[in-house]
Amino acid sequence: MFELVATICATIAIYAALRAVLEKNILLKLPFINVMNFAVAGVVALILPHPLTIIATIAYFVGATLEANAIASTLSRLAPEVIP
Amino acid sequence: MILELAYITAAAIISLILFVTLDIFWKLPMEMGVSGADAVSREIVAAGGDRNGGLMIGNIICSPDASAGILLAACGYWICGILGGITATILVFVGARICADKGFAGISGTIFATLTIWALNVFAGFTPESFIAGMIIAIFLLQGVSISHTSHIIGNIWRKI
Repeated sequence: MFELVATICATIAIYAALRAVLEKNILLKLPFINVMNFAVAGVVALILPHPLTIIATIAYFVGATLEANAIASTLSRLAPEVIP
Repeated sequence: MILELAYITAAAIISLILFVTLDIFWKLPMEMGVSGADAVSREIVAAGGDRNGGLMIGNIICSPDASAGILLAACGYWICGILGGITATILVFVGARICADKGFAGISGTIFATLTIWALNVFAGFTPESFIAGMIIAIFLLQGVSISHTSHIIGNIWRKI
């Protein structure tokens, strides 16, 4: 079970990273990077089963979402667009 | 091998239903919980997507919502059991506040996920790691395949409800 789960997580992480690299639009890269963060957080918890890993995983994940929020809100202020 | 794949598929479906239900319950497809979600939503609309679905995807990206809660609860439960789930709940609450998110989608996701994983682990033989893989497959289906199509599906579900 462990090997199968780790393989699924790692495959999705690599696929999402490649899609993020190939995507041209910066804001549309963020969903793929988010998928990669999910997969990396899962892999970290899988390969290091220790109580401190929970804190490390959540710190990594919250940091990643905070960065995505900062990038998205900064870009929206730089180039405001009006939605009809 | 086939039994394990069946467990992972079932866990993916349960996770997908759980986090979409919780996100819609907390009105993530309508509200701009965090400032970056609106920008992501606008870009998804420009790429041919739906505004409500785009807002929900933006909220998932920019703050720890129910999907993150389910993944982190599964990680916590796999490492420490119920205690790990409770730890994940507290830390996700703190994390959502760090991201300036005033909602309770993340904390409700961890609580419901811990209870679901506990019940399915005890009564149906699901392992917690199948939920880690299941949640990653669920978020991959939502965001990793075609964002414009999935945003339309979420937008339609939101408008029907």
